[in-house]
Amino acid sequence: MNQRSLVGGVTDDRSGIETGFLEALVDHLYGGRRAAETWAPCGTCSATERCRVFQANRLFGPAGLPGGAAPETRSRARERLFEALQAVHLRGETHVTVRELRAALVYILFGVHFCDDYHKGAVAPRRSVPAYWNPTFGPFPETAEPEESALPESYWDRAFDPQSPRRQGAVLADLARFDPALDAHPRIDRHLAGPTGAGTRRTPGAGRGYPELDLASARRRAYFEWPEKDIESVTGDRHALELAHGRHLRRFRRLPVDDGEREAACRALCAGIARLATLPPPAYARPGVVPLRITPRTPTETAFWIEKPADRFRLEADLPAALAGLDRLHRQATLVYRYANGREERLRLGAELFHLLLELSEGYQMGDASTDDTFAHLSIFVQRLEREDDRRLLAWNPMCDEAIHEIAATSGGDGLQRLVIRPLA
Amino acid sequence: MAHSDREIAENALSPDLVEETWTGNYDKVLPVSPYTFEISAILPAVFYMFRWGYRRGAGNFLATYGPPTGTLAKKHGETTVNRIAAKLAESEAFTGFDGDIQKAILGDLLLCFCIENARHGLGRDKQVQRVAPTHYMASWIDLPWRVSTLRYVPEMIVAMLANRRKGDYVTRSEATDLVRHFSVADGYEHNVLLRAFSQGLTHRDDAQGLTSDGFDETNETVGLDQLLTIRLALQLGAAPARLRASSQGGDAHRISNQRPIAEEAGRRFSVDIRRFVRSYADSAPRHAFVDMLESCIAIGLTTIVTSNVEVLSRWAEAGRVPTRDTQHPTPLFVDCSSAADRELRMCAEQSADDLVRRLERVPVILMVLRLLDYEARSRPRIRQQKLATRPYATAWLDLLGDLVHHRHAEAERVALLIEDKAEKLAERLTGHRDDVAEALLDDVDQRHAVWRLADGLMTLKGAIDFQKGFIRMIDSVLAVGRPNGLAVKRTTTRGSAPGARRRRDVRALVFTDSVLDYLVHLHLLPGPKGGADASIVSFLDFLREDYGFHVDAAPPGMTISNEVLHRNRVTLERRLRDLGLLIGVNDAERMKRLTPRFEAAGGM
Repeated sequence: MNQRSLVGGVTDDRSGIETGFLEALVDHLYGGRRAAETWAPCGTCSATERCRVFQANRLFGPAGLPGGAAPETRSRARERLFEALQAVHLRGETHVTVRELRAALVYILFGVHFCDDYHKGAVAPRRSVPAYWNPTFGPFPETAEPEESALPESYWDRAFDPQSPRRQGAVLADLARFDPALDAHPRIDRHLAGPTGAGTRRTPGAGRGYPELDLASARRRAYFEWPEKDIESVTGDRHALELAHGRHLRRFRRLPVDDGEREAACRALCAGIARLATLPPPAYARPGVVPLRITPRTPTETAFWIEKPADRFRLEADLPAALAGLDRLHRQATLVYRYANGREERLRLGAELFHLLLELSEGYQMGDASTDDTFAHLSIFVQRLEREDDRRLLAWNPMCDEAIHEIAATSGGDGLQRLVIRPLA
Repeated sequence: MAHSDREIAENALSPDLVEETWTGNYDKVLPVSPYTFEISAILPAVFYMFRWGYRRGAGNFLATYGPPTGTLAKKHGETTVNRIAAKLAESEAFTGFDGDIQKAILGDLLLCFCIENARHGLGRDKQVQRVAPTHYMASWIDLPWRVSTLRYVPEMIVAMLANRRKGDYVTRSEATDLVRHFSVADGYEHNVLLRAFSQGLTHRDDAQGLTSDGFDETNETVGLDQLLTIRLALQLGAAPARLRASSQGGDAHRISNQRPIAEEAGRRFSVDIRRFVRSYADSAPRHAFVDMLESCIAIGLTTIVTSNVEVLSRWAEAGRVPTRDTQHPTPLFVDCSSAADRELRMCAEQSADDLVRRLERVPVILMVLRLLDYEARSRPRIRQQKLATRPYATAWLDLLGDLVHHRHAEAERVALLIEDKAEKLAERLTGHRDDVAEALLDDVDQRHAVWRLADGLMTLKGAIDFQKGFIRMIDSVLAVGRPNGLAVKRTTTRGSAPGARRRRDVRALVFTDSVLDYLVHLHLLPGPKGGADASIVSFLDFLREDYGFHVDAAPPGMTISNEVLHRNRVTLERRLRDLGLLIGVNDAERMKRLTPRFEAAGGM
């Protein structure tokens, strides 16, 4: 039971990932077959303009609820919500139990206030006192909190804002790590914060901006509400607005269901591992091999590395064994290296390491000390690969920056092992 | 005519007594010199002592790779990687290393795998200082130049691992020895440590001759790094001869069988290193294995030193060495965030500061012991007792405690003799060091004269220097700032007024990746009673009870909020997970299981 996934599962024919349980759970939270009846009073409620529950109902509620958004908008919002929950599962640190999942969904969809709170104006303000509050004259006019902040948080902030009131539980804690507000995109952010009045130049086909929200909230809202085509109109890339550190989560999620994706990811991972420690450009130019730098005891001007054939690497998704009635979705992938003698070396990759390696393969540089541990795990894998043939390595010295030298231990006919150096063509 | 403090002390006491006590050591308590040393240089010296059964003397390194002329200091200074590479390139075992570029690459290859410069300097033109333990043959290379610069740490390690139950010196192992995990001067097969580093090694007929080690040229299992070390060593022609130091008498080459008074910590270190080497020497990659082995030594030495501090503190109170089952290392809080979390770092610094404060008293306690030792040995009735001080000086220290606490027939006599000496020294110091003279005569604060005399002598010697020596030793055993070390250090400034600002170093215990790797793999080894408990709770108990490392609990005497402790534990779990050493998710403790990366070969 601990291996099951509640946030989606690979279909039996491995053609995709289905989220039937999540769909049913959300529908159930809204009342199931009695949802329309349960929420009917909202259609005539005087507080709908400021009601955060109603705001979420429009997007996440089942068809037939008062004020519901267009079906494609609702479908998109649910898809994004499920992606975020799947990210928590894929990260592998939090076991998403039914209780945790229900609690997180109830918090995100309905918040912590009752209808009476909205009607009596008893809802808690979002921020109690601004930092620039003047005790004599109150807030400075230009910095006074807008009306918006007097209301409870919206569903997008409840989903991701780590400071949202009464937030608790491991799933919500993990969701905050994926907060889209932690990332930035100049075009999207300009568009979200920009004016929307008449005469303003806007990108044709772009989604709506949210100048009334601060940028963090606007990014969170756009994550749920902007369809792919709107994101593409603004940035040229339909995946430009994703979860934080989740640019590659989609690839990671699809590993068990897409062979082509898996092979491409394997190549990219090898490239990422090769770029973990900087090597001279000629090292990367050699085809069909993965260069792995040797970490010296004392830093040297000469770079030393070994090479491994790229076709000996493969990637597998660690999918639990199939059990009738239980959804399964991997939490880890395994990069497998096959030695010349047929033995295999395996490196388990979580979504985080997967993301970091793909970022490295694309030329990003890591400046974050917290990634050291992640890479320490990887360095042991590399050291094990080095052991396969630790009698040969390649060297590059800046005094002769176009040449690569091979150093190898060879046994001659005279019974003496020699260290031989020769330039490689 | 003005006299130095030492001359005054010699005139007032006696040259013999001052000669014996004017030092920081007291090897019956801790058989190492309390000064700085490099933990990464320990293993080759340990290999040598295990192989030959005595301490290493001068070898052929300087003659082979150093400049042909000049003073000794000049030769040392000019023995660089460039020079070594040029010499190796001439050898028939190296092909193609004729050009400048190839020699530069060879030099960098040496720095990459085999040799370290003085003060961890970069570049091929710096003085070389240490050899890395990539292979047993590193022990042929006489780096550092003098084995005494390792402060007798290799000797202590060999004595603990060889575990001779009797005798003043570590002797050669006999075939009849029942337990031979760490045999001495008996080849490689019966020594766990030597066997792990002896790939491709052969014996010649005369197994005890300095040229009897050889390399099997048909063995193709040695890696490039090992082959390079082997070639570097074979150029020397022979292993270094045994130590000959006239100033240390005829026994200078022998390995003392003196063990630290913290018996339990020494035993644990011996068991840990044996189990770890036997289990993982073959399965772990060599670089990772050496890193973890050095972490093992750092943790073992740290536990020994802190346990010694605790033992000495309790001896100073009661005059008795605590029994083995009541000896514990100093409880220390470990910052699992590696100083990334400010609050955790501050707690770890406060905990390490407590240790440093306890260390400040240790030089005085050792001086008390040296003074009592001198007087006790001069008493015929005590000499007649013939108490053994090696391997453990527990009974001797108990006797010295009895002298201070007046539980021995000779106690009054010894107290009077020391009182007399304190008065004589005070008399000589009057007018020269009045503050010390007054303290020597102040029998209100310190009733027993030995404490007053010890304090006085420490002041004359420069107590601060000796405290610094101990703190440097702690920095060395913790391998501060090293990638496989146990602590980090930073300099802070205290005081607000510009003139009153004072810089000081603060340390914090941290778990580097190598340390975590080692501890988890050690914990997961099956014990004599069966398989290890792989739960995270059991791992935390293991750290706390065996080494004094507190992660999710505050050390006694410290107050740390539950929130901070919880954060420390969560950080540790995250790091273990990142390192691939912990599998499990958040919602159930029972689902969190530690998992080894390397397959263990044979457990105990």
